[in-house]
This record gives sequence, C-alpha cells and structure tokens, in this order.
Amino acid sequence: MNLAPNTTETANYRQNNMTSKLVEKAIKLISATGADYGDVRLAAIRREHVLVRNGRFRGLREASELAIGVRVLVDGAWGFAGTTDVSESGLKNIVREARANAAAQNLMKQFGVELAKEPAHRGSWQTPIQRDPWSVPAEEKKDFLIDVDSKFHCKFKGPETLVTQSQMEFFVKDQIFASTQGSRIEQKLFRSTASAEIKLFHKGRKIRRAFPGPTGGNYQGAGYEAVLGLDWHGASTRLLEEAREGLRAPEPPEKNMDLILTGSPMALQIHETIGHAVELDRVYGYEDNLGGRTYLVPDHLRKLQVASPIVNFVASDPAMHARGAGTVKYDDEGVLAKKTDVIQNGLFVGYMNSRETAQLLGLSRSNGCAVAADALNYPLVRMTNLSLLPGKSSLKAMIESTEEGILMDNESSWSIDDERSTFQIGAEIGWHIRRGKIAGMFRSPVYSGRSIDFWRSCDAIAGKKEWVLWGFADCTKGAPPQLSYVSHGAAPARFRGIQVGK
Amino acid sequence: MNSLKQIHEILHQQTRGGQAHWLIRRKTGYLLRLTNNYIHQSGYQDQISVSLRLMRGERMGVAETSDVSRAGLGAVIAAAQKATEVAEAGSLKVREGRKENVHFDRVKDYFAAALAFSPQMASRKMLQALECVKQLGALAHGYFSSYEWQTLVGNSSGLNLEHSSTGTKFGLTVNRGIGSGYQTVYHPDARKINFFEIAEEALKHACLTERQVAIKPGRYPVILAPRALAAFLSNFLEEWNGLRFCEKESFLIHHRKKPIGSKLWTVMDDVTHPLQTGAPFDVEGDARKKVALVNKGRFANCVYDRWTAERYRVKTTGHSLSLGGEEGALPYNIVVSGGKSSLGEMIRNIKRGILIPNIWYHQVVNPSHWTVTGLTRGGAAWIHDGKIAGGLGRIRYLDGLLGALARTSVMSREQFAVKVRDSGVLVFPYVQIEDLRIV
Repeated sequence: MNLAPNTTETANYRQNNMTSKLVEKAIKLISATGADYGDVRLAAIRREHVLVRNGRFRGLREASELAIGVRVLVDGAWGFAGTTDVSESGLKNIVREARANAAAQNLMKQFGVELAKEPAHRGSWQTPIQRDPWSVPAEEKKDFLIDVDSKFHCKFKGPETLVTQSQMEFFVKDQIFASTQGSRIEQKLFRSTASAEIKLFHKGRKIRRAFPGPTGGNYQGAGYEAVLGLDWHGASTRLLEEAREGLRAPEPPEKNMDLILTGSPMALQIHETIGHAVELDRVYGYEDNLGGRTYLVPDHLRKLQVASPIVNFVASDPAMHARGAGTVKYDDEGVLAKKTDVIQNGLFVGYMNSRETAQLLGLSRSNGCAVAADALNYPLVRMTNLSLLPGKSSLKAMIESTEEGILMDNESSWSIDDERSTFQIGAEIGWHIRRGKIAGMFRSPVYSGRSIDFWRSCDAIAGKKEWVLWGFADCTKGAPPQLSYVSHGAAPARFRGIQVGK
Repeated sequence: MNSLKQIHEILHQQTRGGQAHWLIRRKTGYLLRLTNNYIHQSGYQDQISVSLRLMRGERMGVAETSDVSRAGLGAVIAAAQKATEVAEAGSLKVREGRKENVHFDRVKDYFAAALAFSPQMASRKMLQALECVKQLGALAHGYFSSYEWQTLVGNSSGLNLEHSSTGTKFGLTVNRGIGSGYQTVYHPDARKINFFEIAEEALKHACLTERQVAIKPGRYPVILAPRALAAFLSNFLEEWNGLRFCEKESFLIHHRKKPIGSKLWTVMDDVTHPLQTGAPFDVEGDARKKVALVNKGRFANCVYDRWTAERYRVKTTGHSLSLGGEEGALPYNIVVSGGKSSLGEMIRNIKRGILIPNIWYHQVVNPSHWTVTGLTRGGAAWIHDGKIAGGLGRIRYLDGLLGALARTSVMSREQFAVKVRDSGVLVFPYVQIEDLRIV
C-alpha cells in the first residue's frame, strides 16, 4: 500500500517499518492488560485547503495529523485513549489511560458490553482515484480558483455589495487497524471537493447562492477529478442572476402546498430525518445527552410504513457508492461494510449499526457503520452512505404536473428535534410553481413537517439520469464532537401538501 | 513528546534569520458519557498541534502539524515555505515580538490539583450523586469532562507567551416520565464541582415538569437560561467579527446608530472577568483587550485581529482566530451584564409564560431579517401564576432575533459560565424576553 503522499512523518514511520511494529506493540500491550478485546488505529491525515475570496488568492493551507488510538474492553466496560504522541512511551501512556477509563466505566456500567461476531480481516483498500490531489501543482489549483471566482466579478455590475468565495479541499486518511481478534487492515481514503459561493447585500437584505452544493460543495470519495468536469462557467452566470432576482423576491406565504426538492436539499432531508433516525446507538440512549434519540424504535422494524411505497433506501454499500464521501470498505471496528436495506417500499426494515449495538438488537453481524473522525476519537455509529433509490419521474414532469407548489434549491438552515420526528428546513432559493409552470421566485423559503408524514407524502422521485451522490463533511456527533464525511444519493422528488413559510 | 518549551526552542533554532510565527497548543484530559444512569463511553485524549506562519518578503505561508519531533517540525516549516511560493504579496507585518513590551492581566484559570481528579474519582462522585435520581425512578444522561489546555505563542524574534488552563464540565439531563430537567456547570477546578447539587436540581426540574401542559401557538414571555441564551445568540455574535464589518458583510453596518436590543443589553468581551477563562493574548500574541460590544442596547465596537487591522487601518483588539487571518476575529470571552432580579423573582412575576433551560438546532432562517428558529430541550417549563406548573415537551420558536432582543425586559443578577469552545466561556444571566413567537 502507498503512503499518504508526502506526509513526512508517516513516511518516516513506514520507511522504518515502524508503523506495523507500533501497531503490533499496541496489541501486545492491550493483551497484557487482561482486556477481553482491544483494537488500535494508527492514522495519518493530511488536509489541503485552497481559498480565493473576492477574486484574490487567500492562500493554500496544509495540515497533517498523525495519531494513535486504542480501545479496550475489560469486563464488559469500554476504555478509549488517543494521542498524537506516536512513540512507544506515548503508546504505553494511552494503553494505561484506556485501562483506567474502562475501570471508571466498570464502576458505573449498566451491563457488560458484548460484540457481534466479525471474522478477522487482513487486507487493504483505497478510494479509487484518477488524479492524486497532491500531485497537482499548487499554481494550477490557484489559477483554477481565481478563474472561477473572478468570473462573478467580471459579470457583475450593480448597486449591491458582492462577496465571493471559491475553495478547494482535499483530505487523505492513511490508516492501519488491528485488533486482538487478528484483524490487520490498511485503508487509504481520499475526499475531495471544490465550491463557489456568492453573497449579495443590498439595503439590509442578504442572499447567498452556492455551487455545486451549499456547504463546501459536493464532497466525493475521489481525487482531483472531483474538481473538474463541473460547469463552473454556467454556474457563475446562473448564480448571479438568481441571487439578484432572489434579493428582490417576496418571501413565500405561510400555507400548505406541494414541495419539490432538488438533489442537495433532498440529501439533507434524507440525512436529518432518515439517516440519523436509523443510527442504532440512538435507540439505546447513547446520544441522549447530545444527538438525541430516534422516532424509529425496534418495535417498528418491518411493521412501520415510514414512507410512501415508492421510497427505498439502501445504506452502507461501498459498491453502489464508489465515489461516496462516506464510503469505506472496512469501518473503524474492522467490520466489512455490508449493503443494508433501510426502507423497502416505504417499510422501515433496518438500522445502521456497530458491533456493540448490533449485538444489543440481536443481530448476528454489524453492517460496518462505526466511524471515528480520527485516531484521537472513539468510533460511533455513523452514516457512511445512505441513498434514496431513483424513481421513474423527472424534475420536468414533476413541475408540469403540479397545480401549485414550490421548488427549493440548496438548503440554508435545518432545525430538527432530538428524536428526528419533526423538522423545519430552509433553502437558499425557491421558485413558485403555478399550473405546471415556474411563476416566480421566493426568497428565504422554509418548510416544516413530521418526518413520517413528510415521507409518506412523497409521490414522485426522478430517475437515474437525475440521481446524484451528494457528499458532506460537516456531520457532527458525539462528545468531544466528531465531524464525519457522509454521502447520500438522491434525485429530485415531490411531496404533497407540505407546510411552507414556517 | 517534546514539551511546548522544547518545541518552541526547536522552531526558534530552525527558523533563525527568517520571519516565523507559531502557535503551539496541547489539550489533555478525559470525558465520561452517561446514559440511563450509567457510563457508556469513556475517552482520554492527548493532542498537540503546531501552526506555523512563515513570511518570505511579503508572501505568507501557513501550515499545521501534530508531529512535534525535529523531523516533523522541519516538515511543517517546509510545508509553510511551499505555501509562500504561491502566495500573493500582502500587507501583513509580523510583530517584532518582545515579551517584555506586552502587559497582560492575569487570568486565574489553572488549578494543578484539579489534574489529579481521575476518571475513577469522577465515576464514584457521579455514582453517589445519581442515587437520588435512581430512588425516584428517574434516568440521568450526561457527561463529565476534565481537560488541561496549554498554549504557547512564539516567533523567530523572541516572542514567547505561555498560558495554561484547566476546566471541568458536568452536565445532566434527568428524565422522569415525560418530565425533564437539565443542569450544567463549568469550573476551572474539578474539585469545585458539586455533583449532588447538579443532580438534585435536574431531578427537581424533571419532577416539576412531569405534568404535561399543552399550549397554543402564539406569543409568550419566556425566560432563557444561560445555556439557552448561549445557543440563541450563537450565530449573532459572529456579526462582531471586525473583518466581516470592514468587508460590509456584517448586519451591524446598518445598525451603527440604531438600537439592536433593549437598554438592558450591555455586552463586553472581557477575559479578566472573574468567571472568565482563557489566554489573555490571542494567536498573534496581542493582548486581548476589554471591548464593549453593546452598550445599553446600542452597537458599540467590533473585535479585530492583526490582519484586518493592517488591511483596513483599524487597531487590533487581540481577538485573532488564525495565523492566516482569513477568519478575522471573534469575541470569545463574552460577558452579559446581569440585572437586579433573581431567577425566582423572574418566575414569580410571570402570569403565563415559559422557562427554557436549553435550546437545540437554533438556526437563522432569514438572514435579511434575522429570523431564527429552534427547539426547546431539557424540560421547557410552563409558568402559571408565578410558579412552574408543568412541562411543555419540545416546542419550536420562530421569530425575529432583533425584535426579541428589543423585547428583553428582565435579566437576573446571577451570572453563569457556559463553556461552548476550548477558549473562553460565555458569562450569561437568565434573560426574560416578552412575546416570543411559538409555532
């Protein structure tokens, strides 16, 4: 397996064969504590961020982190410790601290943790990429972004204040996982994105438009190719026109109407009201003090019609999500990620889980959704990838068959209750649909509802041609808060009779 | 691992003759998470990071690493050098850096003895404190965390500023039936945490809100607890970023002479306040000045970083966020002046209203009007005839933030420290807002 490119510290370790020695040493130390189970993750992370603002290059930032984390299970109690001190003494310290944490948990444990079975895996995997982002000269990235950002200013003339920002972000995690059960897994995960956004200010009003998605673009499990192939030129013209019209547009009235969501807000709707709701740790209260619980309890499995029959969700499937921002082959417990049906023809049929939570539900195996932000944090049940399967309609057909409705693009705010059962979501922009045609624009549109009612009202989903895999990097969960990459495949879809405007 | 001082020395040697500036941070400590009266997660972290800025003429490069070995520090210098090659010439001038020229007010937020408070000790304390919760058949969920933060700001001209802090957070949500109670406390000294008081207060509120009350959508007087107020104002305070103000992005541009809240609102950024914590200098090594952000309801000043100060000819207030200057500055030692009432008096004076202990998913829905929404959490309570008369479950508000601030009628004299980020705390009172719109 190759190294994380040019990561000097990793290179030093790899060259000296120190990484595998350190990992083996960790396994020996864990075993010596008398732990029933233990695992270790040694991860080198490298990030690059390139920023252009108002047509001016603001810099290229490089950040690297090398850390090691160990997890021990002693008498059914977990203990975790992680450090950036990747030396033998650092390792000894974290094994001691993990053992001490397990002892603290043992004083106050509810039950002894047991893990769903998983065979030992020995293997490696890498995100398939066409062009390594670190092989692209910095000048090329800079010139590309200045070109993208400057287009807005070239085309802009008017009384408004225009603020633009264009950026690229690249991430690579090179990780070794080992467990006392014999797993030895190496993975190298790439995540890449580029985005452009504009803000217009005029007489106290403000509007924002972004491309290709609203929050940092569309993160992909890919290399530099994620940046290329998008219509940046067309986007700059469209975004400026929409923002100027939107700035002067009225807000939508408070009333019920049909709602059509484009791909990115669909991905957010999936993320907030299905994705988090099917994280199995929420069922057992593990996120009660922070992320909350879920409206989808085990009694609902294979009984609750959570959505209309045209709605189907699939999770944790690396093959289906080859370029997914959340895609891994093995999760951070060394579990082979498995395709999981979550909603079939509208019926709730499955959770995303970990070895511990799978065992609690009586499942024979985990489906590989335990992910940690880095080696300094313990793995939590996270969405890796969760997608709405394409339907048979199209955005055009949906608009044409809508009597009165609103089409919303790019999410701008999201407020969801701690059981994920009710929500209010806002968009950057909306278009009023009347008698099958776009009749005007709405500024700062919002809609709200109950998750189950909302998904049950879905009567049309666009087909494969409009299905896009959306990636996000800002999903936060746990304490200390952990950020995670996730991906959701979605096509535009229509929902009948939704509360708009509040 | 090298100590902060050793890292500083190595960087000093390796950048001799150049213009370099660095920020070294270390965070060490542990966190225990509780659910259903038990611990289900426990974690220890020891992490260090070095951010380094290098100047080549007027070209700036910034890079960051966690590898503090000689080789690792050499690599971060090389990465910063590489970044200078594509950088544009800027106007930033790196400080000369003479420690003796800078005076800092002392912030007392380091308690060495607190570091001896082990996970097992915390676990035993929580076990005892939760006895009352278990006896009443209630369930507690929460966390306990105890950390030490070390910061060193240095440069190749000899600047060497250090600050260490300790901090402990304990928070509980206690559920009994449909009743819920939330209490949290932050203190730099773990030994000062009163586990029993937190558990008893959360339990008491859970019992008081056990009877469910249904209210119609409409406008009600609400009391926001300090934790809820922290969430309510979270996005709003970013408007005081001097960079955003200079670049005409901040809404404050249009409110220079208009009120932004009732006269009760006086807001300072003041690291020297007795309840505050954090380094008395920013990442540039500039003294963090006491800044009036809002004075009797009117906008007073923004906070500035060195980069913005150089670019827009204003003075830095010592609130820089990053070595690259892209993010500008933020106030992070905020103190809202309290009022004259006690919380008890505030409740007693409300005929029909709501007490909100915590807020969840607070968002700006309409950035032009500052329309905000969010949900209550942790046991929103219905106040009837001056007493807590039941629980409301979760309710959603949707209202203009500026209007809400203008309708602030009472503030408590008690102030509490709310920890929301690694540096600094928010010192907030209970605040009463008239006619908040519940939807």
